Amino acid sequence: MRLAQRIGEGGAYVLSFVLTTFVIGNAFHQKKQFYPAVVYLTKSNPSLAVLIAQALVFVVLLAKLTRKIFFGSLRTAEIEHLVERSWYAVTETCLAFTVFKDDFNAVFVAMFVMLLFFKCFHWLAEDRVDFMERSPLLGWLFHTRVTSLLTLLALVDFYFIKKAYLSTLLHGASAQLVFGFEYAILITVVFTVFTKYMLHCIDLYDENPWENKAVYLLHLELITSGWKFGLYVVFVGIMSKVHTFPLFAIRPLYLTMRSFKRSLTDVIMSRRAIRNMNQLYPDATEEDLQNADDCIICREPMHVNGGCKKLPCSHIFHASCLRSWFQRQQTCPTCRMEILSSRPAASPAPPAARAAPAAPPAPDQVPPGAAQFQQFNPWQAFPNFPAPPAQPPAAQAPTTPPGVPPCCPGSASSKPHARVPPSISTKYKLPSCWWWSGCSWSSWLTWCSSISLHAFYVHAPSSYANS
Amino acid sequence: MANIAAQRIQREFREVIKSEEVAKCHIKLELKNDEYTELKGEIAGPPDTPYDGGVFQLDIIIPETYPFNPPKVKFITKIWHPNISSVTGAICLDILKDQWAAAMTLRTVLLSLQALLSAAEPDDPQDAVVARQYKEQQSVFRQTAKHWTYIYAKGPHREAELEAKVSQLRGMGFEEHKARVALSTCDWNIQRATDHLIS
Repeated sequence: MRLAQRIGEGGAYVLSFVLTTFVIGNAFHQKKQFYPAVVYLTKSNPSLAVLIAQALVFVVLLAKLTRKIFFGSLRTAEIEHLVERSWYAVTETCLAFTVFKDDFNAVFVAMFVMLLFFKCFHWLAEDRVDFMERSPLLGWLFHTRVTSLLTLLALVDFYFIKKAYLSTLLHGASAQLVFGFEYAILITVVFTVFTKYMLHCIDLYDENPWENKAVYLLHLELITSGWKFGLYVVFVGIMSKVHTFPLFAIRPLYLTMRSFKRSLTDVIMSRRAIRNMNQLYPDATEEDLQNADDCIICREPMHVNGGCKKLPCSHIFHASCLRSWFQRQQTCPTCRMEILSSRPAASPAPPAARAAPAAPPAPDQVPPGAAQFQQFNPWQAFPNFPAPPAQPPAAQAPTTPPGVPPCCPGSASSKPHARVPPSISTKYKLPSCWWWSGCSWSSWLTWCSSISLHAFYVHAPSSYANS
Repeated sequence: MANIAAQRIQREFREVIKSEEVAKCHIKLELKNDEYTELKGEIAGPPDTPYDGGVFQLDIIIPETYPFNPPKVKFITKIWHPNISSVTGAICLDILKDQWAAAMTLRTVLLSLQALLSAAEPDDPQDAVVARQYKEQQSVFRQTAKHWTYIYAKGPHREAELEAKVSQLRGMGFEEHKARVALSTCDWNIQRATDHLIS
């Protein structure tokens, strides 16, 4: 299958080369001189088509070469990601074409192809750096590749932003505005990827575990998504003022808004949980620790002066382990009690852990789009909401042997994979439906409007289109 | 890995080796590399289930962020079960997804999987074909699962009738595993399975 694909690809390249040679040869054969031959080539539609196809083949080959230099071979996930994203990028730019119908010419198409070309490498760099965490061995080749690629991309982005800026100043708003904003977004991506790369590097070459890395990542996410969202808002604002409402920007605007909201909630929730931990929960006493086993998160023994915290459900952990966990989920690692919804009791007696099974998934584990929904916790929103069946406190007493998670009371003999109760599972099902409907809603709107807009521009007198 | 993942896996690994389940050959854990990032698990089919006597191999990948994120687990051994893909071995189990808690360990994950084998959740399926059969034709499901266990997991219960049907399709020139999948999907109806294979 792959072989056949490769042969097909190679065949297409060869065919394109042969055709180009033939077309150019033919032109020179007929006109004998350079200038008339060039005029002939640009005037004849079939020759032009062949030359454009050839140019595209060159772009593809160049992309392959660049990929080979900076990435080596791609992982399957990277390829899938790339294909999916390029598909959206192409559709959106086609929508942008409808808005800038007057600017549509060869230069514009070339600019667009170039933008897509550079975008692809931004995405690949993003994926590659994200994969750093999971690849144990990284040689000098990897570091050289990443740093040189990021520098190159940053320079390219900067150049195009500058160009767009000058062009807008000189000639007023044109398609250059779109390109300028696109490259501004891309330079943000370069910044994010580079910062992530630095964080991963520090983590890799530090002997000790770096507890605060997740905090930095969380804040980085917040800053960049906020910045991107701001950029899109500004872009939409400017565009609607000088031209028309940019429909092609709706999807990215919506997506960045969502990710900004999600990272904001992440940061707020984890900060709140960590602050609760530092201020409200007592340090574990000698007596507590005698009854407790090792810290269930890292499996290391706990000492009185080693900074151990006792949660309201009277489970005890290392403060540093607990902090790492709270950055992902705000529940007790043992009994899943909601840390944020429970009021820590003044006395160390365990309060009724009512929200035990309702642990919401960490935002990075849920499907995209679920963020809005998973914030909705009926027990947080309505204190009178019928609480889910509370687990008897005895089941959560610190005497529970380590390693037996709350959903596996006893051992394998009973049913360990306690499913979420029905009310909760509907809560989890909602987000995906909601996301789909949200998605299809926005894409519907975009499509319908683009079609009507297109019809408008095509059929309206040209004076309309200019106004 | 400069984090607690490696340390914890080392401890858990020792814990599993020493635990009594290993002594009874119920679960097993092996290292695939020195970095403690990839492991091979093994669980025995629980008694009184179609998987009884079978040995199922699992592929376990430990993420960098373990134990704050769950390990990635899938079946290497082919298995006929509503919550496990018969094609890829992917598992539908909440604790491996959003219900993960830092208190869980590889040992509890393996035990949970063993329990999943004895208590399927057909209403939350990974493999819709298997789940349908489980709900509508329980006896056919049990036979099929036993047969798969015998063939792929060294199970003790031979299903001669089903084997005969597979070899009949093999005689027609179909590849053995494909024939078995088609027959299992079509409730062991030879005519429908042949149509399924041809279409």
